Amino acid sequence: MEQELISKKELLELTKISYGQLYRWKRKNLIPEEWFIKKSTYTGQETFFPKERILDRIEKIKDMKGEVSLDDLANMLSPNLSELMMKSKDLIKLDIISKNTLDFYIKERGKDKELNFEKILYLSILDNLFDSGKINFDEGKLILNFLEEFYPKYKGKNCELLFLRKLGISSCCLVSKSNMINFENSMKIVENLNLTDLIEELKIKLV
Amino acid sequence: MEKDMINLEIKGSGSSTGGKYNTVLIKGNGKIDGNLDCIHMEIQGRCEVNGNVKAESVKVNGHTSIKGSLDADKIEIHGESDVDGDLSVDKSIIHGMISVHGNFNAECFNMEGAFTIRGLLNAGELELKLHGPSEAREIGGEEIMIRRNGKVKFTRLRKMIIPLGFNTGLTTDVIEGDEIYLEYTKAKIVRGNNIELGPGCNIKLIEYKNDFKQHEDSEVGTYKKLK
Repeated sequence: MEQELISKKELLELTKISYGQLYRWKRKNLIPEEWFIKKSTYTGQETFFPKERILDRIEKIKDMKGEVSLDDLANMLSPNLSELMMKSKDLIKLDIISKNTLDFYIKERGKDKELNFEKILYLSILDNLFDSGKINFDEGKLILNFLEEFYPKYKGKNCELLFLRKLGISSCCLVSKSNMINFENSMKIVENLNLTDLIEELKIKLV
Repeated sequence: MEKDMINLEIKGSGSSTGGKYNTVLIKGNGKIDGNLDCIHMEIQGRCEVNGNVKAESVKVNGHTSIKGSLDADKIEIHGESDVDGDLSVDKSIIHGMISVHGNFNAECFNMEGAFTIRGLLNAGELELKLHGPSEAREIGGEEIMIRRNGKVKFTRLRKMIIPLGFNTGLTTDVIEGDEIYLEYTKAKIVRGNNIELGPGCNIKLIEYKNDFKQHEDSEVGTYKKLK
């Protein structure tokens, strides 16, 4: 999971923002602390960022800052789950999850009138995976059980969900960000979902 | 303001546990063990908090030492404060000394005195009038204005006590901002849109975008204009 880095100077040139803006967004927690990576260079210590993620984030901030306040934006972008409740009907209406996924969930867990954000997140993960045809319903069950048991421990942290398959046997795991993880060659990583990005997308859709 | 929250008052000398309070008032010498969550905190005298402090407003006349982090909307300090963790405020007015071991985040930071910040000083509006040697690892913000404002008599007196070679200005690695004015500052790198150097600066590298002015009493290693 080696990522390409971009120096602060290049970033500002590329995105045409000023130091002041960058620092203000940092203060408002729009840019997470762990993205500021210190490295020694010949001019002393310089700050670097994970290139793809920071560019994506700055685009998002620039796009949205006209419409919403910085504080609301920070809320949206943070990996903390919001205290939102949604009716299952509305979720389908808003095209956040498909009817198939919801039916699957109702079969497994019974009918809930309102779903909290955590459940919506699980459903959208499942929806994502079902939709791409990467898993079947049995595996969906596995993931749902797994997420319900373990995701709360990762709440508010950056993490990724890996779905693995080896010789037809499937499994999944959660990895908190910036950890290296390696598998032997016969293990296939079927899907690698970044939950933080997913939460961001969901929040933007829901608000 | 919740009704069932009580006030904490220490007059004279005393100690208390942390918790949730309406107003915390300490006149004299107080010690608080645990995290403190209150609306208003006022200290006249001396106070030590072994924990984090969260408050809407904090006013200190005297000395406080906080072993955790301090998070407030507004702080006003006349005297001295030590914070071992991070310090995050919207507006801060400081007359005296402050030392922060973590990062210092403020929307508006107005200070007269001296400071030591081990981490990053990140402020929207930064106006510093330095009376003594100050230090920060890194400074970032929108408007940064650093002046030395030691009274003439006072500096002379100090020069008599502490011989030459003692730095009375600001020492830092990097300063980055939009509008920057510096006096008596020693830094490795200064980057910004408009940079003006007053007297007494020593800066190794300057990178500016629009405008750069330099006082004749300031030393600059190299400077370049960025496109």
